[in-house]
Amino acid sequence: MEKSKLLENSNSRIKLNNWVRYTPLLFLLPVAIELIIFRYIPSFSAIYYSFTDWDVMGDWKMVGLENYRELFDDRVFKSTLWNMLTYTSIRTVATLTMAFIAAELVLSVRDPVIRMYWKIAFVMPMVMPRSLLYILWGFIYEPQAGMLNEALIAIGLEGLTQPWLGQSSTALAAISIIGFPFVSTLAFLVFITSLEGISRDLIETSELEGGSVLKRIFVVDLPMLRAPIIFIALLVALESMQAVEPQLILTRGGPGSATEMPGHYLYTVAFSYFNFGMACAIGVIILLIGLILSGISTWMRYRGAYDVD
Amino acid sequence: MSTKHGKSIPQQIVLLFLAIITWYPLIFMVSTSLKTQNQFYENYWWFTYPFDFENYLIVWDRISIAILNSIHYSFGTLVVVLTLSLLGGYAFGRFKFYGKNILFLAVIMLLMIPGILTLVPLFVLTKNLGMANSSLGFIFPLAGFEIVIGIFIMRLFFERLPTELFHAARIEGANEIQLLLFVAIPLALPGLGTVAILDLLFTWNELLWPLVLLSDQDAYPVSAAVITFRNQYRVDNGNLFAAYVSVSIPLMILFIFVVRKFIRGIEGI
Repeated sequence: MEKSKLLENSNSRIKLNNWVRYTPLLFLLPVAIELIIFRYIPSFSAIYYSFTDWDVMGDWKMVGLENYRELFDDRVFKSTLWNMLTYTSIRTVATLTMAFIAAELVLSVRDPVIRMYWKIAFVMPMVMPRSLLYILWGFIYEPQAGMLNEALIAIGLEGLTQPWLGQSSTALAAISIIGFPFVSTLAFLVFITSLEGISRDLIETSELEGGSVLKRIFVVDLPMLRAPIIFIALLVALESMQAVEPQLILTRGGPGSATEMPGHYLYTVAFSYFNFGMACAIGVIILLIGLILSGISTWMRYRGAYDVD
Repeated sequence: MSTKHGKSIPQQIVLLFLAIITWYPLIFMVSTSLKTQNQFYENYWWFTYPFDFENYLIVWDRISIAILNSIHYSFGTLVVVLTLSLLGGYAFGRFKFYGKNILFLAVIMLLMIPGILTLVPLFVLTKNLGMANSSLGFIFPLAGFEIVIGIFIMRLFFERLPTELFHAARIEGANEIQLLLFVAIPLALPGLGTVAILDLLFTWNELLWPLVLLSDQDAYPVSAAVITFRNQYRVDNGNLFAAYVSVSIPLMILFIFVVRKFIRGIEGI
């Protein structure tokens, strides 16, 4: 205690002159300029313009909550929110489950060299350009010579072939599972890393007590991974709820509005209808939903947690 | 169940199955890129002989432009992101100063602002700054998103370095700039490597921003170029898939060399 006080005193004595005191702020100056211009100003102006009828000519006047009222009268917009909910839930649950199962399986490989090879096998495909992933899945779903239909024909289930993205009954589910089995993700890498960080004592104790592997997973692994699991869930959910790529690349929101989601709707309203104010209002709604999600996840992270004060 | 001797055959069979599902679309991509249209209908699922490299020659002219564009944008973004992440992480990680927590919060809070919210204002802003249709308009807005996580990683990194190193150098008479250049940067290289890889993945994958920003399709990076390419060459699968393979190769090659470091880097966070 005493010693650390002393050390701190000597530190501050070294830092006495002014140039040293302002050094960190000088280092932060370029960061501040970049973030203020390209993050803060656009964020605040988006909120501001959501209350205006801003258009592509740059003209705008305040219209209050008009944009929001119009959006909630808009049947299409309401359905985009439901689609977003479905899409985000499927992706979050599926990604977490599959990545966790794969991480547990890789962890059960005791040989560190072989384990590293499995990690590399699942991490490598992460570098494929993401738009390519969607294009490839579009090819999987294609009605003529698509992989899924060809596979169904090959195993004699010709009756089940269908235009997966071309009909509203399957299109949303189809884009939701793009990327299956979701192992080649950051989630997998974070989970395996966290699982390796669990102390061996804890695992061996559980084994000595005669617990099964399944029991260890539920009693030791899952509680220990609470923080990374919630963190990854939030990350995947925030990313999914802003999705525009499946629509831009594959469905254009169709058929009808079966796969339309707020992100792509915003893009359409802004750059096809040139209604910038309305687009900003959609953005603000996405922001609010995101903030609610972040709030819930923070609450879940700390509620009754044993690992924080 | 695994034994103490490292036998885990059933688990590895399931893993193999998952790996096959993950990799098969990529293998399909490569095999199709080496087929003529007839070979494609002859054998759908696997490689056919002889390989037809013609597809690559046909698409190379167009695709090489997109690859060069992507390299250009990625490099620019990388320079900005690494510089600012280093400065930010260093300031937050090594110094104590008034308002540090508030400032850090102001940076990290940006993680919660969805990018799509700022799409329209950012587009108008870059246009007003005269950056539309230029690589600067690509680099700076994207960097604004990437440096947040970069600063976070670099701060953790610098906080773990022993302060004695900096004290020792200062006693030797080094000034702040020298400390940054000759002590901090060499020590920070592993952290910067992790930031660089995350940043490269992010930049190569960005699709919406180039579509909004760039009106000239010849300036498209690979993420956007493959889509216009697909829409134009619908008919010949061989050509299409040759283009897909070509745009995947640069990062794949780079990643083969750094994948172990990347995995370790994530473990370090």
